[in-house]
Order: sequence, then C-alpha cells, then structure tokens
Amino acid sequence: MEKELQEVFQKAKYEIDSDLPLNIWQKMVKRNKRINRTRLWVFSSMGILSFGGALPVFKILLNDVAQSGFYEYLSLVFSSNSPALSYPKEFFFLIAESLPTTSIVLSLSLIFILFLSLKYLTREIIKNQLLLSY
Amino acid sequence: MSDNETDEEIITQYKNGNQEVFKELIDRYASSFYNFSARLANKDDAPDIVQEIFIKIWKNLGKFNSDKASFKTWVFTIARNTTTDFLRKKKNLLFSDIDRGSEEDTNSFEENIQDENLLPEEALQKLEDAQFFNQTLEKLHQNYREVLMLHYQEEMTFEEIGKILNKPLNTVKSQHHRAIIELRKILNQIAP
Repeated sequence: MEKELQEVFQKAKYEIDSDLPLNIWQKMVKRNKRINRTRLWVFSSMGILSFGGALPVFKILLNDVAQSGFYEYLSLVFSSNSPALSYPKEFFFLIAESLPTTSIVLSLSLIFILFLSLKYLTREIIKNQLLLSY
Repeated sequence: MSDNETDEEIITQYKNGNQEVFKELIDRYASSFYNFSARLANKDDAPDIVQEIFIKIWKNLGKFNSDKASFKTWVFTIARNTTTDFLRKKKNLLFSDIDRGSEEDTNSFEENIQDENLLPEEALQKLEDAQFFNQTLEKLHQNYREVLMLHYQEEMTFEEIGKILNKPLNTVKSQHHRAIIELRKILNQIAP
C-alpha cells in the first residue's frame, strides 16, 4: 500500500507555473534591494546628522573644559613639588570633578552614533553591491 | 553548480557569500512547497504562500543548524508554519482545529496498528484518477492531510514528520493510521 500511495501522490501532483521560481527569486531580490536602500538612507542620514552635530558639540566641550579649570589642574602634574605626587588620590578626584561631564557624554554619544552608522553603512553598501550584480 | 550538490553544500556556499545559490534552493523546493500549500490552503493562494516561505527561509538561513534537523525537515517546518499562519489570517481555520490532532493521544495506536493494509486495491485504483484523488484529499482534515502529504508525497519518515509538526513519533503514526481510515471512509461515501 505504501508504494502504491506514493505513486498516487506523485501522479496527482499539481504542476507549477514554470516562471514561478524565477518570479519568486526576482521578487525577493527586489524586496531585499528596497529594504537595503531604506537602511542605506537611514544610516547615511544618521551619519550626516551625527557628524554635523559633532562639530558644535566639540566646540562646547572645548569651551567647557577651558572654563572648568581642568587645564590648570592638569598643568600641576608637570610642576615641581607636584601635589599630584603627594596626594595622588585626592588629585585624581579633583581632576575628575572638574571635568564637564555633560559635554563629554554628549560628545562620546555622538561619536558612538557616527561610528555605528558608518559601520552599518559600509555593510549595507557591500550587500547592495552583491545584490546589484544579480 | 551541479544538481548533485546537497542542500547543506548549497547553504555553505550561500553562507560564504554566494547569494545566487539561493536560486537553486528555490528551483528544488518550489514545486514541493506549491503542492503542500495548495493542498493545505488553495491553489490560488499557493504562489503567495510559497513566496512567503522562501522569504522566511532566506531571513532565517543563518539560524539553520544541520545537527538538529536535516535541511528538508527545517524548510518544511517553515512551510507548514507559514501555511498555517496564512490560514489563520484568512480565518478559514479555527484554532481548535489546528490542535485537534495533537490531542489524539497515542493509546489507541497499538490497537489500530494491527491492520496494515487499510486501503484495499480497489480503493487505490479509484485514487489513481488525479482529479478524484485531489477531491478526496480535500475532504480530509488538515492534520491528516499534512501527515499523508509529507509521508507519501515528500517521502519523509514519521520521525521527520514528528519534527516538522512538533509531535511525538507515536502521535504521528497514530494520525497517519487515522488518516488512512478516514480516507477509506470518504472513498466509501463517494464511491458509486
């Protein structure tokens, strides 16, 4: 019965449209290209925006660092009878406290976003190149 | 690319960056998926379901693990789930219906398995008419239809079918047995 039923099933198989496999492949490539193009736009925009934002944020950071007295504290490290050597722990905390935290966090976030978008952008460009060849 | 290449070899090539080999997988499985979805859903929707199946395979190909299951078992699991999802969306299938088969436990399997030759020669001859066969198959419950299709059309073992349907081996064997009984009943009803 096993073999006979197998034959019956094979015999009654529906014939597929001969174009169906190619149509599926083409639709998949098209769909994937569209998704990749969208990603490309999103990551490029993110990259441009973060790069554009990085310039004023760096200016603010430099300004904040200059105003915080960080440079003055830092110069003490190189002076003779440096308090940095006598009281290293206290000096480290003093320097750390003088840092403009908000501007630093903001700048680092922007750098992170910039590199992240560059990474994904490169990946998408490579992917697109591969797909465009089909 | 040769036809002798196994699915696993093709996947390795795909994972190594040759995306075009996916076309070969489409050529290999399109007909099987078409028949599977056409018989579980309908012929008109089958091409869309097949496309959806391949998109899911494409998206998840990186997750395929040949140690867990063969590629054929894996893709048919996706095919079955996609077709069932499609049917759910169309509300042609009640949720309770989908699980009906799983509720059938294995206790009756031992007693039912005695009669191996459930479909007599006469019934098999009737089924040789493709149109008649398709009409008969349509009357079977989805759970029975998929077990029969996977076993006789795709020539899969009950173990492989169990993996696809996520059911124990004995449940699959029991379902297969019931499907044959059901098929015989339908044939008796239709028979002139």
